[in-house]
Amino acid sequence: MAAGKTIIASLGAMVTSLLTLGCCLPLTFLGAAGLAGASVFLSAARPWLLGLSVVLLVAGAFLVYRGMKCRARQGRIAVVLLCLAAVLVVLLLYFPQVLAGLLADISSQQKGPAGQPSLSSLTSENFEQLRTAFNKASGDVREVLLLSPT
Amino acid sequence: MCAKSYFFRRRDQHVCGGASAVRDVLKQNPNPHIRVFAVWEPILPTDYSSPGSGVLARLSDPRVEQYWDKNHLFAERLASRLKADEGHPQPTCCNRHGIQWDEVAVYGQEARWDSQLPRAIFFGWSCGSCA
Repeated sequence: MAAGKTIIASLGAMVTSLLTLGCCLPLTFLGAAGLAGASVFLSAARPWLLGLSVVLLVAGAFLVYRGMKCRARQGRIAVVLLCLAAVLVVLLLYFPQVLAGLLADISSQQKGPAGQPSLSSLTSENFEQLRTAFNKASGDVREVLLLSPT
Repeated sequence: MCAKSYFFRRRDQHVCGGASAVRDVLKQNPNPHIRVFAVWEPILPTDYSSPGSGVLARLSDPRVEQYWDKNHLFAERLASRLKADEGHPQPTCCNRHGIQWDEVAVYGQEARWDSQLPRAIFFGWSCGSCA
């Protein structure tokens, strides 16, 4: 019974922590389901989801601890799932941008929104391309944004 | 119409909040004679890699071109331009270890980038005044 609760807590922690990446996953199916706003909602709810995943993780750990104290046999699946959930939550807490970027890009070859050129990595060798693009747009008002991905 | 109100048409609106704010401004302003160059650079400790598709999608307008500037090449050029020209408008926002970020620089229609960056009309996320 306790193993079942641990599994539920672990899966809950995994799901809620993965939902924090909702802003960054290719959730095209949500658009098809008329839920395109879900991505925006998930992005706004990120701190709450992360908090919930930590709470669920602690609850799962407590159940395992209590089971050990009572010398009850722990379900192997429950313990493995709890460990996996812990790893996932820690990764998402400390390296959210890396995971989000990886997951988002696994499914897409072209990095960048449709209708735009692909994201270009600037180096000393190709930096000229930014200058060329800037000058090519003379006649337009140009804005350069300096941004951090996170 | 001066360039900054050309872009920030709604002067009553205080535009803050980085890429999402710019997305909103672009949505409200369909003028095709606006080009945005979004230069993403690693600034915060969590900026381990180039932005993923989800981050890039914050600026999905076709008038935007996006770049990943791992070595802060643009920020360096901007800093040297600011240093060389005392009368240049000064950035209003964030500087971390000498690197400018979370900033918008607006350039007029006639601006041309030759050996040095041209003079920006203004910096910052707020609308300011054209007068």
